Amino acid sequence: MKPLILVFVLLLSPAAWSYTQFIGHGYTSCLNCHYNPSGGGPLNDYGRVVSATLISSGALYPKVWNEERVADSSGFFFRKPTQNWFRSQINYRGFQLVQNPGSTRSEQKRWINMQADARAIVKFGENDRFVGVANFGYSPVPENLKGEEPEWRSREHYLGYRVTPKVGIYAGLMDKVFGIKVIEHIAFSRQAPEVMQNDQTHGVLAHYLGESWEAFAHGFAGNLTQDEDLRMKGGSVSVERTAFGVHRLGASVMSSRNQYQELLSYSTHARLNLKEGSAVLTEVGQVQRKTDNGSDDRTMRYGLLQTYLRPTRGLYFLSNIEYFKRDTTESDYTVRWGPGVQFFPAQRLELRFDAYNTRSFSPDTSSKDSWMYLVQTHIWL
Amino acid sequence: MKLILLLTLLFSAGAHASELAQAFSAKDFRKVEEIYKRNPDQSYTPKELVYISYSLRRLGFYRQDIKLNVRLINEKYKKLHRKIVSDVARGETIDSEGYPEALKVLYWNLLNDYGRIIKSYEKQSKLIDKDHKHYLMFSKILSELEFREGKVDRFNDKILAHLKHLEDKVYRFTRSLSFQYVSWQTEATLAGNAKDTGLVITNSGVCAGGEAGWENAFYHFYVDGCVIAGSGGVSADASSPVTYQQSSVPAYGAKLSPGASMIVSSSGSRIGVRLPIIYTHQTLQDPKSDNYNIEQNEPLAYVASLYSRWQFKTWYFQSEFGKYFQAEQTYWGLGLGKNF
Repeated sequence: MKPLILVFVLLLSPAAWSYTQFIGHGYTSCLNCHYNPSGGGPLNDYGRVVSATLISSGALYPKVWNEERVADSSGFFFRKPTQNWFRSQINYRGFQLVQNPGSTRSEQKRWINMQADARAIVKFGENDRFVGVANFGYSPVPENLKGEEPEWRSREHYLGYRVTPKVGIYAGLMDKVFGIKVIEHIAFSRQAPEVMQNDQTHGVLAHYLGESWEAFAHGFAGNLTQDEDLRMKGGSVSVERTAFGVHRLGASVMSSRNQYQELLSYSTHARLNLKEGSAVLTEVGQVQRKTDNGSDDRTMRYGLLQTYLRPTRGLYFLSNIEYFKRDTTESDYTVRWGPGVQFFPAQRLELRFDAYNTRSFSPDTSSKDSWMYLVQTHIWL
Repeated sequence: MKLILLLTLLFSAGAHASELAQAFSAKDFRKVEEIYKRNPDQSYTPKELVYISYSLRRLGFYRQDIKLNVRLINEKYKKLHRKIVSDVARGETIDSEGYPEALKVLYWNLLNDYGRIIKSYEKQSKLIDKDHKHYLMFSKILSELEFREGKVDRFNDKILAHLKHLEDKVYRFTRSLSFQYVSWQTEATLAGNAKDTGLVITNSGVCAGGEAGWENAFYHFYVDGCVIAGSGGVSADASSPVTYQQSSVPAYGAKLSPGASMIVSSSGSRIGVRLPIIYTHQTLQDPKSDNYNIEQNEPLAYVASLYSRWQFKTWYFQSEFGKYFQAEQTYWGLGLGKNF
């Protein structure tokens, strides 16, 4: 059972730190806060200030600190950077995973150290025109893959150049650009098109950020640290348009293949700003899978509906609803439903609780729901 | 205190020491007020009137202070006051240089008095409109006189925010119609001569209904009700060796939920809790064997659920996630609604 749990938790952790729900604070583009325009990975200086002020609760700060003082302490190890060309960050995320809590079936608990990353960024030019990002970290490996896969790996490393403020080119190891990059890699919308925890790829990413349009084109050659036959090569395009000034509507398509399978994924999504930090994220998509011997050819369908409601600064109530049909030609499907709470008591600290209640629908069988919850701690310096 | 000094200087002609002045010097504002209350119509010197006005404000007697300031204006600046009120009403340009500083200070006092009275209201009242009308008049006069514009603007913002807060606190009756996709799981028992086997019934369907209640800008209290129509599949749990299976078993019922929500954004989006009582009727077929029969659970279930709503003007999406009391099963709902 342990390897199974580990396989499962591998899907849970974010590859990088990406909170697309912050559209509820008016941030439509990830480039506002991240060096990577598609989100995730190290925060830029502005992102760190936003995280310290707008996102985190001010309750634990000294009363004499105003927002400017808080912003000044948002740098690495609470310092205001004294130079403009180098930044570093450290990230840790761990959680308690409890399966079948309080159930008549056996309850299982364990603590997982999910992420421990060190990040370095070099940047030059006006508005960080040239960036180089390296992100090296720990990632747990399932028991059955121990010795075959490294526990420490480069999560991303790339060079970026903004040709103009609107156009940028990035090359290196990055997440594939597809759909909404929600933080939960357990999400069917991340599992089905294979854009999860360790699915980064070497490639070239072109980014366009206009007044109301944002577009990505990503050509990739697979993760070059993998064996040649496993590398998923291909490309993806993702486009978003601002609607009614505050919302984003988008669509993505991605084609990739290795020696064993070929995937064609396409999706449409919306990120809706409910004001004052609250937001709704929704995505529907399909993934056509063809295997080299035809043994597992199928089309998968998924849906995601995620809500973040913010009653007060630093606190978000989540509602996560997911749909997954493993094979569109069959009647069986799965729905996962769960509430959660995300709390940023102070800058550099995130506490999170998520419950997952998974129900299978089938005309032939009826089985009890499965239950699971996570209590996460996320610290960054 | 600077105001006092200024007004004292301006009104200082003929001032003489008095019991009132001594009390004021000793910062005994209560005594100053008592002296004034004993004989409000006495002919006080302008300096004494300034002392009284200040003391009244310090003690929070804003209405008395308004009377006093009006009295000062009428005694000293009746003509000027009439002129500026008339000019402001006609929208004419005001030459602020033509008005003495002392008069401007008296207007400032009146603005503050009315402002503080408005801020003392804790709920909506018809009296506020009258006080607000006076407040707006003095705010307009001070703006035209270009007197302490920054302070006046900031005070205006505070008063507006307070009035909005009072407005936001008012509960209004609301109602809506809604339509939800719902899913719920129940259990039954396949009772046999030798051993009982647990059955799991997974249902899905729709729940159409509505809600009525009261809400202000912060909270929503209501009762939600809907009629359920759906169907479900039933079988023994996968771990059981017993085979019993039925598909698309019709299920009907109703759901009634008292609920309370906290409104978290100006869009009206909200989170809350509900306590649904769910009645469902679903008949499972007995197996074709005398050795077995179906025992179904009580049709009434009590649930505690978390509720969220994402409001887009009068339309909204809603989701509900509930857990049955004293059972592992859950109830889900996702749907659309419209306020009327």
